Amino acid sequence: MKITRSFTLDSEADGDIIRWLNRQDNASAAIRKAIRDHLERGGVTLVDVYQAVKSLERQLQAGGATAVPTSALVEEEWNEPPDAAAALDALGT
Amino acid sequence: MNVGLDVGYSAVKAVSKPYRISFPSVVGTPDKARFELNSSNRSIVLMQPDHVQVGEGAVTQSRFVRPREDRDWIEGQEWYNLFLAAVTGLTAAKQVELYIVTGLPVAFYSDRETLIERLPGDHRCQREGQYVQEFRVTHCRVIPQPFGALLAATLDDDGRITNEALATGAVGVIDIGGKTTNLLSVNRLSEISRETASVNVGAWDVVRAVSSWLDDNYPGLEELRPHQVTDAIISRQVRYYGKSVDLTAVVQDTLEPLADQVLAEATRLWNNGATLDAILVSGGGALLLSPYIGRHFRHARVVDDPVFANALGFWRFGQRLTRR
Repeated sequence: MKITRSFTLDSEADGDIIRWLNRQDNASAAIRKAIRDHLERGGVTLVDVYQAVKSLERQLQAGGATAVPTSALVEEEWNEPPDAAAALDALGT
Repeated sequence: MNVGLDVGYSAVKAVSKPYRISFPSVVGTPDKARFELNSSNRSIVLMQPDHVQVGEGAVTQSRFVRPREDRDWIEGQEWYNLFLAAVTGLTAAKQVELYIVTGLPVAFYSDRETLIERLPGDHRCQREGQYVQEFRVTHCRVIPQPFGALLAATLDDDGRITNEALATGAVGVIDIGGKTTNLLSVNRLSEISRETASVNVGAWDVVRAVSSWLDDNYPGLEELRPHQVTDAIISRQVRYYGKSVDLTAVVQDTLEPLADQVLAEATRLWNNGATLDAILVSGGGALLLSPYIGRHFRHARVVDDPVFANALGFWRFGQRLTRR
């Protein structure tokens, strides 16, 4: 089912977007791809990162979290047959 | 961005989840139809570094195409344009860092250094309809092509081993590409080189033979595109002036000699396959040849999504490497 969405552009402020749209053979496809590219980046902003760091800081101060080396986390989470894992990691080297 | 890249002689497949793309491995002159009803065509035109048309558009519209089927093609400009067409199809971002995992046919695996020297570094290009893009390949890992299908079946999207039976077992992979069939034997994820080889036949041999037969017997059907012929081969029928034509006999006559060649080599390498825990069948020709392979190797099975399996496995392996 096709869904049509319209949006507004300012001929001066959004001139760059209008020129870009005019260059597209298929504007709908180009807009869909641009939005997907944005979504692929996860939409994470500096504000999100700052809030996550502050939250972690609060947890550490409250004793609710303990710092663990990344390698230990990987080994704990990835319970793999060691020889097969080693062969895999060496593949193509 | 982590990219699983499978550049075959007949088609390019690339995966960078959630995206994946595929297009014919054809590079040609940038000619375009002057009149076109369907503006949402699948034309890929690179504006720079070369002004060329790639993929389906090159098949249908280019006046001159540059087919390469020799092992040196990874050093040529055609291969490079296929690579650029793939990465520009996965992202429109202006500056991108790439971690690439790709494969080479078993017989040409010794050429891996060529790719390892060629891909890392900066690549600047522009695809029609997109801004100039700058790609920096920070890492490039080249592995034997059929390993991709095995890794797709063994790893999850984080690159973690989740199928322990495949990871710790003795596994054969029959990867039936367009022009080459790779046979890989692996034990505990280590290649057994004496049981690994390539055969110079593939699915396009079948498509070409059936196209030629249709051309001789049903004038007008020579217009069918290769993927339409492939569909007809799989369904064993084609429509001709509104009626169904049974292709069972011609497909069988075409597939059997091809399957015989693949099975002869697989039998030479693996005997009856009794010592292998599993045999995975992958590639664009997997669905065509699997019934014949299954008769000889009763534990052979077609992997999920066989056309994209190698590229997906490369991508999952890249996920693993970037996490560890």
